[in-house]
Amino acid sequence: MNLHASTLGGHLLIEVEDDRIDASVAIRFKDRVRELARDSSGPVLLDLAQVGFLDSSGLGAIVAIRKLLGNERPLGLIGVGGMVEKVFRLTRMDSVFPIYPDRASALAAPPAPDLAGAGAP
Amino acid sequence: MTAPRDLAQGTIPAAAFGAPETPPRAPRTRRPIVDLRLVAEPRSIRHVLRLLRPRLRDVSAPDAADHAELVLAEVLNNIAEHGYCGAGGPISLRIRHRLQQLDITVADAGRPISAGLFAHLPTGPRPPSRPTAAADPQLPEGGFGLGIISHLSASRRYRRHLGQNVLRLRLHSEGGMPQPQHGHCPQDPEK
Repeated sequence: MNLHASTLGGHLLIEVEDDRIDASVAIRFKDRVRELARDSSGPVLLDLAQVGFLDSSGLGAIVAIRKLLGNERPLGLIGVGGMVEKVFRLTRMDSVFPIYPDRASALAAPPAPDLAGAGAP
Repeated sequence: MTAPRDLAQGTIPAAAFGAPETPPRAPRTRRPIVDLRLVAEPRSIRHVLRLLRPRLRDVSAPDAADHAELVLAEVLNNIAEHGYCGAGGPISLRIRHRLQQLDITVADAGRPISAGLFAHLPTGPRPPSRPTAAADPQLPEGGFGLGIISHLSASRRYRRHLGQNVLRLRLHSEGGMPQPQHGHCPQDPEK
């Protein structure tokens, strides 16, 4: 599981350089992102353009990353297409993550509203 | 290498006698397109799924092949994690293609799973449809697998047989999503 990290317009951009995020790499993937995020601040963009296959373990890892980043650090996704997009839709996780068509629109997007206080109805 | 039985016995097609043309029942479709054993371990599952991808694409519409690959990933990793509790063990996998369907049979000698698990499959944990606090601690990190299996397969049958779990799944091979057998639309105002 190779990840490439860089800084882009104040965001931490993490490109996943693997064509699959599945049960065999999910834990390592989560741990690596945690390390990368620890050494930076600000919003995080996860680029999944090279990922053609995501299973429930991989999705669970992305949710776990969302949670470990906390409310102060938005997590946006880019490069979500094909099968990966389907998995997000099927599990309705597409309503949890801001998904952008490309880097430019992710950088231009207004910061996500802080819904931490929204609470349960 | 043995020839298909019909050929070996020199069967003459019914059409030769002026009988109405019936769709040919190709003996070939009765043979599994996949028949293998693998170790219930995430890395070998990953490897096998990579190998199966072109095979599934040969017989299915592209999105149906994707669905099959995902369902297999969920089923096989579920066995590795819960059936064999991460200790590894043999899984046999057989896939037949017939009548625009993929019949998948998976057998393992791991812990018995509750038959009810597959009889009453949930549609998986779902976040609230309202916008969720980004890092909501209640967001589910697991449990998506059964929901995915349930959504993408047309039917599921489980039985415990001679110390083995035998799971049979049927998927459409012509694409499109199987209609959900229960549940409701997220937009349904009554629910």
